[in-house]
Amino acid sequence: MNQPPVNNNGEALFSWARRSIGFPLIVAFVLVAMLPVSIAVASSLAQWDRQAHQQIIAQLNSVSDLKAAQIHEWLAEKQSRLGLLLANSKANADAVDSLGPAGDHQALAVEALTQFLTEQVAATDAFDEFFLYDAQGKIWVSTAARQVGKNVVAEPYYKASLTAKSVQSPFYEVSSADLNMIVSQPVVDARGQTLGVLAGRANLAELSNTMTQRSGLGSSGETYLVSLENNYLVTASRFEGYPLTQAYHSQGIDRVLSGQSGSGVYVNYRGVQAIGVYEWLPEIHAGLVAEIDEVEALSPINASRTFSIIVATIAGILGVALGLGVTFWLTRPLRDLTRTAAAITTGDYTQRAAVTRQNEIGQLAAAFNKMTANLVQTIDELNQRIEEIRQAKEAARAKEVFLATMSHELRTPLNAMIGFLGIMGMSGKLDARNTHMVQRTRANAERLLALINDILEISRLEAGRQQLVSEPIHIRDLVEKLQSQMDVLAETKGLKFAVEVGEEVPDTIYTDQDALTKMITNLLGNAFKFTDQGSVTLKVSSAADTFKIAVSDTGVGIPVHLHQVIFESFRQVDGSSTRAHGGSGLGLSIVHQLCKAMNGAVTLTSQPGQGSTFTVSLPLVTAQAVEPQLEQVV
Amino acid sequence: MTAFTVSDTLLQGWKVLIVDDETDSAEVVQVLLEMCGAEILIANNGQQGFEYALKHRPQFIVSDLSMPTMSGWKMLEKLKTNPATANIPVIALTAHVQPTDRERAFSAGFHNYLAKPLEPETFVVELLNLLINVPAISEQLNPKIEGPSNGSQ
Repeated sequence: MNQPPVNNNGEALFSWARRSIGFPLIVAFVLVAMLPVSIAVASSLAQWDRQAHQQIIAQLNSVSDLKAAQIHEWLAEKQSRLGLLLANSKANADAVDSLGPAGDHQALAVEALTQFLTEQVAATDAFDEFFLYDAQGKIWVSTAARQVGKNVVAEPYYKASLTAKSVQSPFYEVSSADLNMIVSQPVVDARGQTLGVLAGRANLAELSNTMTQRSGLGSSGETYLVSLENNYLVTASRFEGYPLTQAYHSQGIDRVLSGQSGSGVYVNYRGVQAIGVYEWLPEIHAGLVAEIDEVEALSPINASRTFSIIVATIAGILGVALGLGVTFWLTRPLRDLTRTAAAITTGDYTQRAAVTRQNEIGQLAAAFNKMTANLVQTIDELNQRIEEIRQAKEAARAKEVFLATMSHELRTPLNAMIGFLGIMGMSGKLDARNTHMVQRTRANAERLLALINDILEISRLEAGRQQLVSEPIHIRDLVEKLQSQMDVLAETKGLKFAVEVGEEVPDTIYTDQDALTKMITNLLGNAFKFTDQGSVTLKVSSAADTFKIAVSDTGVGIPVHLHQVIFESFRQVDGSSTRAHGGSGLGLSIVHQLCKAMNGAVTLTSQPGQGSTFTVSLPLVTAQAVEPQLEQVV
Repeated sequence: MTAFTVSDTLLQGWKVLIVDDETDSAEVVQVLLEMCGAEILIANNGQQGFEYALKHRPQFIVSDLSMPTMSGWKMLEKLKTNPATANIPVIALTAHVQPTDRERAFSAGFHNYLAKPLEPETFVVELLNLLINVPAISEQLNPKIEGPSNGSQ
């Protein structure tokens, strides 16, 4: 009832309830709106109902009490009137005489009494008939002549009437074929002996009139008397079709005729749900019932009830509507935010969420925008970085391609030069001077080639593209070979060249032979180049996990402040010395780069004029590298 | 190491094809091989090289790699797909000296690889040493082999 219009589709409803905060909001609004109203309405309705019943019953009680009092008064009036008749000495004497021995006197008394009583009936509506009967029940005097001579022994009032003043409750008198009520008083002679009874037939129509007065009981309310005998009505029903002489039953009638007094809600003799009050009237042996149809009695309450239910329903509908409205209002910025997030997800970083509120949702939107801005900035920065890296890579690649191409282009003419120079040298047709010039030309071409090779080598090393291997080498063989190569140079320059390999150095070392050879060659070449007199020494030593190659000379030396820059590319101690000593200036730089690539280091100790010592330290590996897992186990 | 001695008659009667767009480079090789008595054919590009090889069936070919019209790579491919020339060994002689160039040359099917600039004094020996494992060449060289270490490397 409080659900949105998703008919015949429970799944869609469940889905909506799961996905939207609208569902709990609406439920909350309905509960907030409906619960108090419902509780208030229900409790007031119950209270109103109870109060209405009490009020109706009180009203019925007062009516009932009034009627009972009226009946009592009516009955007392009847009895007193009958008493007054017998208090009249003439009438009393006539009555006594009428019941006396038959004769003229007795006949005169009957005539006189009959006349007196007839006058009394005519004078008032209180009695329909007066009649006098003897102790045997025979009627001697009656205002209704046809009654005279009849016997009342069979009548219900007969026995009681002989002993005291009595009232016979309304009964269906066979003799008169009518409902009657008899008020009687014994007739007593001078000696106190009861001779008979003077009785009056009360006029029940009068009682009926009294009873059927509505007394503010509305259109369905009524008061009536019901007789103990045969459950007959004593007073007429306000409604058509309910004759007096018919047995009537209802909870009220049955209870009152069993002598109870009280009230209740029950189906009355007409078959209508009614609120009733009943009172047993012992003096007339009849029950007084005051009833009103419950529908009429509670109609004001029912009107209130209907009104309350309408109010509650409207409150509920308003609650749902308010819930929907608030949900829509609350979630609108969230929906906007979701839409914006979706747009940003698809790559539209220009989207921003509208910040229309100051509350948490507005703060969320603002935070979201800030996050998006940061994201955009980060992406821009990343793109910039990527572009920079791309450009750097491109530049590195371009440099490499350029160097490879230049290398190729320089080698091609060198190939022809060296080739022809070589062929000229081999021809044997040159004189000594020409031979010298060809040799010098050839040497310079070779130097150019070495320079090209060094440049290529250093650029490969600087780009980290040098591939190194770990292979077993015999360090003593290698050193010996290098010594024999360098001996020629040493001899030419008149230098002493010494080689020392420490006893502790293992025969076999795992390293990259080409790289190691290149480093030693470069260091020796450097030493010989800068040394004009004295000696060059190559010393190999080893410790626990390193081995060292030291190349010392007695050359020009290097100032301390240049010890670092000496390993940078294209550096020599000074620009002028480049010309003095020749060389590319790349030898030390290549050594430095190779050391780095081999996880080693190169150090320099030197003083100008005192010579220099370059020491290369490399990791000492004497066995093939084992698997890392095994290494861990060991 | 060498199983032969360089002499002006070592390659007497041999045909050698030199493929190089650089005429100077080609001439250096030509002179060095002619000094050993070989008959030299010179082609300026791969296409011409292939045609000469098909026509003259040289004992071996010394070829540059980068050339206009048709490269040494392409020429090798054509030689290998033709049964008449598939067995002629081709030595790459190139100024491309990056470590990867050497590997590429071997995997492409060149018999061997020499870098420019060549060493004029040792070129012929180096070249023939690279070829000595080719039966046809080894057989032709054998009668001229001198010295005690017969045929061994």
